[in-house]
Amino acid sequence: MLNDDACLKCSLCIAACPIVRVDSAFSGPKALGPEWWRSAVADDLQETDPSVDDCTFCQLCEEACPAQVPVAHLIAQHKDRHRHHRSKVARLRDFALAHPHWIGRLPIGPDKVPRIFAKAVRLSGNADYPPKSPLSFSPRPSVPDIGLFVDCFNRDYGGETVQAAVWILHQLGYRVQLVPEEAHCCGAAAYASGRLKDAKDIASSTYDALKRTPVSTLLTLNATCDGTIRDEWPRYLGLNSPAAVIMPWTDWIVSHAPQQFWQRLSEKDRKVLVHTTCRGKVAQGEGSMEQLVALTSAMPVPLGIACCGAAGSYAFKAEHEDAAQALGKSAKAALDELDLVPEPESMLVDSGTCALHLHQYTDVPALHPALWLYKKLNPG
Amino acid sequence: MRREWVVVGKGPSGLLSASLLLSAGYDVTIVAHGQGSFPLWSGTLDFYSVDQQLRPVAHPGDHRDLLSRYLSYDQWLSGWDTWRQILASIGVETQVDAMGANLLSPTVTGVLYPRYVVPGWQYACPVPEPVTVVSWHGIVDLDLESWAARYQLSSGLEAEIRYRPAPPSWSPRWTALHWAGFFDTEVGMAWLEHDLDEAAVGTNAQYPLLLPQVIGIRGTEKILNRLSLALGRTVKEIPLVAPALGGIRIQERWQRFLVRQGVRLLTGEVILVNNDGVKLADGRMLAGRTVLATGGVLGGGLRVNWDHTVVNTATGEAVLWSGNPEDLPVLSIGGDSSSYDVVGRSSGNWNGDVHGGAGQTLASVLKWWYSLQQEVSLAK
Repeated sequence: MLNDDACLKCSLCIAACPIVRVDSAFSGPKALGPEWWRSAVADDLQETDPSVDDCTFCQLCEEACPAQVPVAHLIAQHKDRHRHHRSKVARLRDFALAHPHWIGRLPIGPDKVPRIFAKAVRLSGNADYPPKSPLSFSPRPSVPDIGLFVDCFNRDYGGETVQAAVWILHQLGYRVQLVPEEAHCCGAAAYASGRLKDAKDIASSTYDALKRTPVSTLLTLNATCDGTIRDEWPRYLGLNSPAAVIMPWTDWIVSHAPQQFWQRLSEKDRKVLVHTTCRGKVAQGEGSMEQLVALTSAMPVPLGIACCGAAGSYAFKAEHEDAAQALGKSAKAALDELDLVPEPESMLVDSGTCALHLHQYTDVPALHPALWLYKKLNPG
Repeated sequence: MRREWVVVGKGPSGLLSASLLLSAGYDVTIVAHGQGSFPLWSGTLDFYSVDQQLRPVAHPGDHRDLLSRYLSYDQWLSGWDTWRQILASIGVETQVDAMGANLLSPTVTGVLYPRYVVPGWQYACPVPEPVTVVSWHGIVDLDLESWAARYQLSSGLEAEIRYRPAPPSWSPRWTALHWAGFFDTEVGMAWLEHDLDEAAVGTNAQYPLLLPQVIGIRGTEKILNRLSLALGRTVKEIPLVAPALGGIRIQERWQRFLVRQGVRLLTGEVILVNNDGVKLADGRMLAGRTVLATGGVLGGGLRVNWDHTVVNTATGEAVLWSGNPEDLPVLSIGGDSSSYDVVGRSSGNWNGDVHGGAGQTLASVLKWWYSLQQEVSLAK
């Protein structure tokens, strides 16, 4: 890429990195990305740094860079190079977790995996795993207005969220098509663990599937998939944009739902926590979920942390237990610092794994804004 | 007057502009592509604090002829107060000498330098005094011997120094952020308290005890207060080179504050500015009057001159739009010159390193703010 070698060594990326603050053995984005790239790729040295695996691939380092160095994507290359030095078990486990849409097809949910097996394949013993909650319907209008991207997590563990998102779009008069029609993944999970070829293959297959049911507007329910499909597919994976407009479901609702829709809700005097995921911050920024909450007359309260520590399947890996836990505890500390009275009843977050992780550490039920709105509009 | 504003840039002038607009009840959206210069700055403000011969100027008002290029004397005085109030509202207390004169605070290399506003965590004094400095092996950016020599040279007073071994979890990869993250944990805090107990033995208890600026990110004030109580003497920090914790703390607290107040903090590359607002590279349009706070201290941004011309700081070329949409993304300015406003440390060809300190940030934002208020009152 054009800016691979543009690092000025300013260290702004280190300042943005959530792992540097909780993991004393982590070398940090500048050393693992641009500095490694200069020595390893440009000078053709084969050395790798084992701590590269502790990167969550949140991409906040890359967002921070004033010279537009693809810091996180250089780190992904580093992970890819380092993969071969890791144990067979870890590689096998990572291969499986890089294909979350396959795991979803297994008859039991990850929460039901026997502990002894989980331990054997180096899965974390202290992470909460998602229970099965698959999607059980699929609207197929002849001419859809909107395609709703059903990501690997929501297809198998967030059926309720997809249903809620569709229901609300129907209420607003849109014809919705769920895409792709069968289980696929945007490739983010593989990319994050440094499996670049897998990421490309998985993304290409999803791209082909999306082309079979073309839509001009594609709404996403997960911030990571949103950024991956819109920004990373064309920039790093050589794929065209699969739709003219790709944006988070929340942004669409905030900008398209009429005033009458919001008047059906009166959440006055309620405080609702909001966490924009790290990848959401990178892809679009903060503030849409807050706007959505404010439109219901409730008071949005941003949690105020960078990354919760879930990072897709990062927290599910045994070697990341300490970092994931430290970040989870920081989320709890941030909540305690807010000192909210009365205690908030929900936390809105546009990622299923982050929701699980945040619930585990803060005890506040965390859910997608679509499901929260649906529940408000359909009490009991 | 329009109610919506778009602030481009999230460095000190961007957040300051946003805070001022917010305080007057405007709807504010910040959009930025890259970090902003907070992590390159310890958080102190000065302006023309040395004269042509580099001698300290006791009072910021002594340069009335130069100051008046920007603001009237009265505007200056209230401007400093505005700055301090804004910092207090985001949870950063500041020190300023009671007589309105400069305080003295050491630089990264140990030179006592006049500063006007200094964050509470950083050491500053109205008249020079002898000090004790404790640092640890492994903080490579602080060479205590040369620091002490320069301190003695500039103040005529002693700087006792103590080098201590690094903590057990230290590794050569540690940056200031690793240290700060460590001290934010219970384990790190306990280690620090114990270590300083030993380090202080044999030092002069009348002297303030100074530490490198790595004492936590979120918990800094709490830690310093606890150490001051335990040791029975003032414990403060001295600044280090980037990544600078002072600026990082201010940035994080300020961003959290703004997002909690309903400001949207978006990530995106602005490719067009006109009378309607701005257009981002991903297609999003943001409506509102625009203020460009893109000083580009690192050379990664745009320098905007007082005459409203925009220069690419990396190439020195004027930024103009060819009119061909294929040429995007390049920032292009449409509409008339009233379609955007300009603030920032590098505005007006200002070089803060040569002409004076970060006070230019404050000066340029206040100049804009006062003229905006005049415009509002004229419109009435």
